[in-house]
Amino acid sequence: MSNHYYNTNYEPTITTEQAFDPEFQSTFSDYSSAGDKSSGSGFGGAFSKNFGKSFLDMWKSGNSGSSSSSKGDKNVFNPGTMGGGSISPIGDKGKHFLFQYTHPQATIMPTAPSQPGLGEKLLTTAAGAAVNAGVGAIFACDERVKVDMAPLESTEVNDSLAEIAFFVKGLRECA
Amino acid sequence: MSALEKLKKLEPIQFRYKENIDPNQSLRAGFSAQQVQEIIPEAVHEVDGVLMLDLNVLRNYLSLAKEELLSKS
Repeated sequence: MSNHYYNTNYEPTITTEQAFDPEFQSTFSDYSSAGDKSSGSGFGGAFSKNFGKSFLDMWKSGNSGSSSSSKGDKNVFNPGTMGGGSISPIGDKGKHFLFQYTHPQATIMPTAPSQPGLGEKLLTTAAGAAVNAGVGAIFACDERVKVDMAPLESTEVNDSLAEIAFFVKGLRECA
Repeated sequence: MSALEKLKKLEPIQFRYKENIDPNQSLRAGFSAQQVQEIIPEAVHEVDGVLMLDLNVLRNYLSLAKEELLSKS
């Protein structure tokens, strides 16, 4: 899998202990700022070492994307375990520099007759997210998800929909 | 029917979402999607069986209505 997705012949030679050792001069310090080249210390050196360590360990262990591996230690960056999402490479051959991240909550759930009721379903969909967050340009205005409906007098939530509603109310009162 | 006339036909309402949707039960301002659908059908979309209001369409109507009002004054 590693050879297929990450077509590189480079084999890192540092260990986890070496990567976190401030005295250790890894080859990654070559990518740090000019002042850090000799020692590999400072922000550039530490960052490049730790960055290189995490990713290279991940590639070495084959612990990439959504696939899990028992070989990875707790310090290894593993995007596949973050938030339950998954990362998959775009394309099917050669080196991959582009990955798409699929977040589980951003997925619109398919509907079926046996699924939860309207309100519960709303909460698990992108539409439900729009309702709860009050963002975006789409609002659930279905009467079936509302209670206490009455002619507009006041609001406790000043969102875009409320602005439009009060504008229309003004139009009607001026007419 | 002009945009201004259509907007005037809309009935702004106050409401609360059902508790399983909004546990805070905040009082909100808006419209009934069913009523909007009768007047401006292109502003209402059905998502998973729930009618949703597209504010971009309503904003376009607001712009047209404002122009109409300015041209009259």
